[in-house]
Amino acid sequence: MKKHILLVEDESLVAMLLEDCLVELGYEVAASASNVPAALAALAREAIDLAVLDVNLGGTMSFPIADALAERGISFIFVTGYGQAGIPERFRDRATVQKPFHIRELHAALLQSQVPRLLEQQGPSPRHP
Amino acid sequence: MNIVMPEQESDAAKERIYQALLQTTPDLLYVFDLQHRFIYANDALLNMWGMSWDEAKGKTCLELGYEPWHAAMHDEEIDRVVATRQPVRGDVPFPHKDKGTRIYDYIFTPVIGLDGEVEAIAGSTRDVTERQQHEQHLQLLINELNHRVKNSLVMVQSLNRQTFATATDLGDACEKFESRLLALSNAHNVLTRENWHSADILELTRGAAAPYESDDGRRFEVQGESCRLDPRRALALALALHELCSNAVRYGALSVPHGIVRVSWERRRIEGDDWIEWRWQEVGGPTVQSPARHGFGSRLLERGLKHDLGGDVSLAFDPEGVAFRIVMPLRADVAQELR
Repeated sequence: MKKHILLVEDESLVAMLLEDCLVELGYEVAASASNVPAALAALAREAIDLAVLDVNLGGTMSFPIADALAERGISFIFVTGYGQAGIPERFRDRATVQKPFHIRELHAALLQSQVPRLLEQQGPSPRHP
Repeated sequence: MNIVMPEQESDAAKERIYQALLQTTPDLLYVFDLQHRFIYANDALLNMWGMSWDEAKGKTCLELGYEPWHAAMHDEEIDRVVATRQPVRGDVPFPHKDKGTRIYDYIFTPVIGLDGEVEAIAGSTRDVTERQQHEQHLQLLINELNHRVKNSLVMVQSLNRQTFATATDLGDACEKFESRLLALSNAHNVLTRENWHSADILELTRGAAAPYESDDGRRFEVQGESCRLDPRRALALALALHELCSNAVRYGALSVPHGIVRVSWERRRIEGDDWIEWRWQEVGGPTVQSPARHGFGSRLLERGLKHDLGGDVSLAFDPEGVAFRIVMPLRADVAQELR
């Protein structure tokens, strides 16, 4: 079964590129949104397995979407032109793809995002006395 | 001392010169004794504190009301200057009496006595708030520039993929790719002229049509008033225009001598919001047939722009001519602007 993807990207040309790449990698783009409200609405409406988030949506950051996804336990990756520095601490462990990207990097990030997040599920690791 | 004066001039005259130098500089100048007490403060420093010299004379930073951490930091630095006989430099925020919190860059330097020991500590402090703000602004600009470059590159990546992935004729694809790249570049020019704040829909339309206009200027009938678009919508519209133009030249109204294109737009107010309706209508061309395969152009026009423009788009291959219509909201802050 193909995984259903929520794609959030405000630039149509880039969204088209990502859609093509995702389809080529065997995913199905279940919903495509260009802003936070549309993405949250799509999240409430569709059965989403995985999300691909542009960081800067025409001046608004996509982090509220990332929070909503994290709350639901849905994996996601960032695609950004800003680099790791533009991403808040709480999402630093999430896979990030830098624009422009090679389809292999997108593939690797998507796979990495689907590895169970063991540390989080087990709680904080024990400290040495 | 290096002040060159006739022998007979008094110490008092030298004193007047030093006073003039010390009191006219905007920098804060001061001297501590070995017990960390102020034994000199110039007017700039007294103004910053909002104190007279009588109030400040002989007091330490702590006694003058500096925050304990701040006073302790300077105590440690003064001790360090005495112990190492080397200057110390730092920067610190401090509340100026009138200007609020400012950032100060300071240097404490040892004053060496005749016996070779440190006998006092002289300090010089400069308000670097504006310089620091300037540096931060510069850093922001660099980050933004970097972002824009990356964004442009990924758009080129997309154009490349959209053009070549489905191409059957390499020469044709190369030409399409280049002309798309130029359309993107031309839209950038319009935006750069306006400092990337907004672009005029009239200028964008005329700019995109220019390469396809005939010498007598009869191919395009453009009707609409100046109206500002934000950068993202401007880029999207410029790309749309390019696809429409190149399609018209290949298959539509501009492929025959007497065909024309009517481009018109008008602003509307719907429930308190500004919208714009933009129309492209080809007239007098060959009978239009719906394309067998939807290429990049139609995909961009039908699906991509809807995404970018945040409105409604429709592309119709009417037999009498291709018609394209966009209804999109105008961003209030940009639309209100007058040139």
